[in-house]
Amino acid sequence: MSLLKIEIFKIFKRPRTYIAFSVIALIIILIQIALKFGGEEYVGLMLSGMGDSFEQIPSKDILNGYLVCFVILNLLLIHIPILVALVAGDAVAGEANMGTLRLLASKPVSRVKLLVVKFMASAFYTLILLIWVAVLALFLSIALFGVNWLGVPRELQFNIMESDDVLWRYSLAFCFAAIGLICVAALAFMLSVFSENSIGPIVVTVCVIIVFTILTQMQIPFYDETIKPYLFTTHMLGWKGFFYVRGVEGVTEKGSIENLSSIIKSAGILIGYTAVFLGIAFWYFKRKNILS
Amino acid sequence: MSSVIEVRELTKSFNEITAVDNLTFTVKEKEVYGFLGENGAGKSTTIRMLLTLIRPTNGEIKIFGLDLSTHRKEILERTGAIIEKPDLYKYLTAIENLSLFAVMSGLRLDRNQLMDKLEKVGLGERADSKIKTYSQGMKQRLGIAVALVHDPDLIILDEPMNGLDPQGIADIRNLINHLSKDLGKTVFISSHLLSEMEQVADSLLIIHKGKKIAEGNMHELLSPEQSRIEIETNSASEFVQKLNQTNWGPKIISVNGKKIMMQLKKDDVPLLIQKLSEMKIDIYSVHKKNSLEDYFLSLTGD
Amino acid sequence: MRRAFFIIAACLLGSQLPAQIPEDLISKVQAKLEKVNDYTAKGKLKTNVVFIKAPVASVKVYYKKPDKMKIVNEKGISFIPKGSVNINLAKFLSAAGKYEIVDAGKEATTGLRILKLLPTDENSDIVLSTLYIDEKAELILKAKNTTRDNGTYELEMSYGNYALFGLPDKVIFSFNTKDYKLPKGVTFDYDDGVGKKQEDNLKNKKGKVEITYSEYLINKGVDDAIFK
Repeated sequence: MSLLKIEIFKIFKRPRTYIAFSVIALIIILIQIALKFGGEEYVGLMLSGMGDSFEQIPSKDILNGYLVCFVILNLLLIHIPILVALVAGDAVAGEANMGTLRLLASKPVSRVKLLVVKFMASAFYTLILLIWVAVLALFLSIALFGVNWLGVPRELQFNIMESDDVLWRYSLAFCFAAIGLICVAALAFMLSVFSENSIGPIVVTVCVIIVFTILTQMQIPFYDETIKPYLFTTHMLGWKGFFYVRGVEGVTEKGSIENLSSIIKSAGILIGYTAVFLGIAFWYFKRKNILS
Repeated sequence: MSSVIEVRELTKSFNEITAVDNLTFTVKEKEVYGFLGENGAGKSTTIRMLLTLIRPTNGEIKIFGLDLSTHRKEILERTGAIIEKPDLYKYLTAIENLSLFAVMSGLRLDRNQLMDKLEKVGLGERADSKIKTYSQGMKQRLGIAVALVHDPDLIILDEPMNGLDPQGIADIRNLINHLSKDLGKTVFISSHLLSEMEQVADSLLIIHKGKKIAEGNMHELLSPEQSRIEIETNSASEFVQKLNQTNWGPKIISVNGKKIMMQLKKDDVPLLIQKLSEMKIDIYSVHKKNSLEDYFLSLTGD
Repeated sequence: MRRAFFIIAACLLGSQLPAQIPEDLISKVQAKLEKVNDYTAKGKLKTNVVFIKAPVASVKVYYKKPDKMKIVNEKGISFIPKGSVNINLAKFLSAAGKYEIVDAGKEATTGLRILKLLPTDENSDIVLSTLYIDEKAELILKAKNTTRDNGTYELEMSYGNYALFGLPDKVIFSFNTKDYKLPKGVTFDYDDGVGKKQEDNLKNKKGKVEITYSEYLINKGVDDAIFK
């Protein structure tokens, strides 16, 4: 426990840790300002063309704190992995680079234990970052924009749910996002174990995320059926599944999730990847010759 | 005196390169054991194997009579080390660094205890400054405080005098003497600075290209009774072959080109020269080599 | 056999009220609607469009003669298909002389009188309106409108407490979603294995909007500002 405290202490004593927090605050506040002043146009854009078929779309009601949070998460959850990589990618490689790894590894703490507390500290940082996102994206948005029903745009569909049917979805979505981000942390952490400087694992993680995200986002049938189901970035979008509802004759079934098993499967795949990344990290670190 | 470190047939290969080759040595309790070799001779690799940073390819390490591979925790709890530069967390203060490594060593110290330890190395006033503001000498002293924070019985210092000014070197020398003579610690110290070793070490191990080339008590190695003689001849192989047929053979320490190093009692030198002329071996020169520096160069020089 | 059927049918129909003259019937229906200058009503709005899933919304409906109408959400969000709000039979019917009435007899199953109205005005959005009228109650129960711009839609009405004013308790508005644009190209969409499979079902499906009214406040005055 005290070892974990040390690792967390080290993370939160570094200036770079706070870069992530300020970057997130900045992005979220910028989005909130933009939506405060140009929100209705954004909603129009979001509903792309539905205005032709429907009238008096209640943009003002659609643009509430819940939707703002959704928009922020949609934009941000693709980028937070970069900030997670900043710390997780540094966890071991940063110590190697600083020269402190040889001191740590010659202390009477087993390498496995050392790596466990290091990863737990990275995961803890990830969770704190996510809580920070939740506070700003959800609670600050609610304070600024109020609450109303949440309308979620998805491919070829628009799902609306009542105000009191939203918060539990966000809680689960944040839990899911935590699983996704910890998976990214595990990837960066694994690369960190292999590297002697922290730039390498951070850059590689970011590149992997960019490439995978592009593949996920590209709607090319060839990739859709071959590699897309295996990319962890595809499954990281699973948090949205909590906002996909079932309907009876077009009426939202309160408290329903369209396909929970798909979300659970995605979470399972992410946990699987995390296990593989960590497995490799532990396997290698136990054998690693510390030469730095 | 019981032995603190026992190393048997220790070998480490990195792919094709053998960094440490079949090394065997013993460090006795309470002695200052000098570990001498040029840069790249395998000193760091050996020290890292003693500290479990590198896995040996072969061989056995016992520290405090325990096998390092099975009793890592117990051994490292009683061991303190500075490996190369004393790198610490630059963004943390001295006291934070010290406290952190105390916990890593299984110790929980309060602020007073930590301050006490920092004052001993003269850093009391700068305890709450971040390390990035420290000079090289201050970092070195803090590194020592960190290495000693858990009061270890064995202290391993890897090139502790590297990059220090003469005052810093003197400080380290005094510290080593204090640790060993006053506190009864065992000190294992590596260096490529021969002069320093001569002044602090009780025993000496010299390695070259991963292999042991000499080991022994400092006084024995430098004893006037046990002189080392460098003989230059026209054919070293013939020399060695012929001498090996006599009882002079075991006295040969090393062969370097046409120069042969032998260890002899002073009184034996004229007898040897007499014998050599009997055997019709051409001798171009005979030098007495007595300083450690001469000895070391004779062993490793090309 | 066939002949027998016609006789029975004729007897059955004949046993009811004598068929009214279409123009008279229309003006009676119209007169009833004319009694309403304005109203405010609470309602429950239910949308049944395949690509929208929404909870039932509480709405307030405002109307003012001759053609002002607005649906406001009391709480929540609802999408109201174009053309559905502005359907104003009163206004349409009041444009007397601007349409020709064709008597299409009675619907066999319900006995409702079927009248087809063909606007003579070329600018009228409605090209053909088929009304199914309860002659006794003088109420329109069903209207099928073919429009120039908004396709064909159908209104079904049921009446209760406010039948005297020709105001329905429930209106079901049905339309074809064929031409509707769907949200597409949503960034970072999550494929949960269900959503996309519906794509084929989305097209060529009937959409419905259902409003169940309660608490009509009739002719109590409605502020014009509401319609802005």
